[in-house]
Amino acid sequence: MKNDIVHEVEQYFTQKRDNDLVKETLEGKEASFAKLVSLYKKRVEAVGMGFFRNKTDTEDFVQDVFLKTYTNISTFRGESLFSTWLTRIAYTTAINIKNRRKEYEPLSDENLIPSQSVTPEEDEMRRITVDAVHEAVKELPERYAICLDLYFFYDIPYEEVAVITGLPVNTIKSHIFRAKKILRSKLKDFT
Amino acid sequence: MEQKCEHYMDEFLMLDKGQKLPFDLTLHILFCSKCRSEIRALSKAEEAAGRPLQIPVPVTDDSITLVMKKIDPSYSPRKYQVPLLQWIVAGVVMIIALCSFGFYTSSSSSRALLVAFYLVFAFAVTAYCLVFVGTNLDFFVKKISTTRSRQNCLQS
Repeated sequence: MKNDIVHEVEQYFTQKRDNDLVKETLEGKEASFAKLVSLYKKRVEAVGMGFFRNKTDTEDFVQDVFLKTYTNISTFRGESLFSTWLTRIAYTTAINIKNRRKEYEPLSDENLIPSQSVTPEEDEMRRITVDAVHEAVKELPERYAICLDLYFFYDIPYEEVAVITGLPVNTIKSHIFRAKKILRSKLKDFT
Repeated sequence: MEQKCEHYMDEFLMLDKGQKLPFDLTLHILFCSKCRSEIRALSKAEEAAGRPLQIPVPVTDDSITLVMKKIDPSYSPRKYQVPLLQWIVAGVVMIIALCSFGFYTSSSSSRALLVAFYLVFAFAVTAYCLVFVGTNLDFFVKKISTTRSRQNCLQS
């Protein structure tokens, strides 16, 4: 976990930036919405890959999600983070496309997230985390797999994972706790 | 001690992203190097796992234009850049100002004033260079990689 103060400051600036971009989009500045797309495209793409497992469907899905986001942007009231709101739209859109069958397959299964780590050590840490999440997911009911992905790979806190998935926060917490325990044991060599 | 460490590590693992460390846990990791290094590794691993999806796609990327075109078919990515000519003009103006200041004040002004003005100029030149390189980073990266690939071609 990052230093709490650094995390809070980061979150404050992220929220301010996103709210400003939303406000500018509502004023008709398309470039501001393009900036939002650039910031969160990878995240939406990852949700798409989790559900569709192929590039063509994922590209269509990404376009649908952002079109929906643009059309409904006036309903964003800033009560949650923009990223949470967007991920929720992506999640529900994917479920609706899949005829309400929650067929999400965890990203850790095939390691669909491209590695863009700064150092080899970071790369190794990421690989271990993917392994740990993969191991934890195997013991979970299918619908909870996305919770672990959202927490570890999308960097979304418990409460917001609950908002996105509509699953109880305490259950999410306990599953993530289990995954963290596995991660801890896998990281023994690093300590 | 081992049991105590387990208790504190569990307490840490229960924490959410960005949640404050409880006082007792802070106190414990202050004196327990084993837990401290475990916590450091866990934090690093979590950070590393979340990083790839946080890297933005360049606004000028084709995939962004495709999305934006679906929203508004007339959309075209605008990339605001100060033209190179304006940079050159600004640079030349700065050099002329620096030389003429030196020429006119070398005999008459006090030493303290001269030092102050030269410091201001030094700051201005540094800022100019930083902004120039910063805003044209893309150009330099492309230039360097083109030169490198050309050298590689020549070598092979």
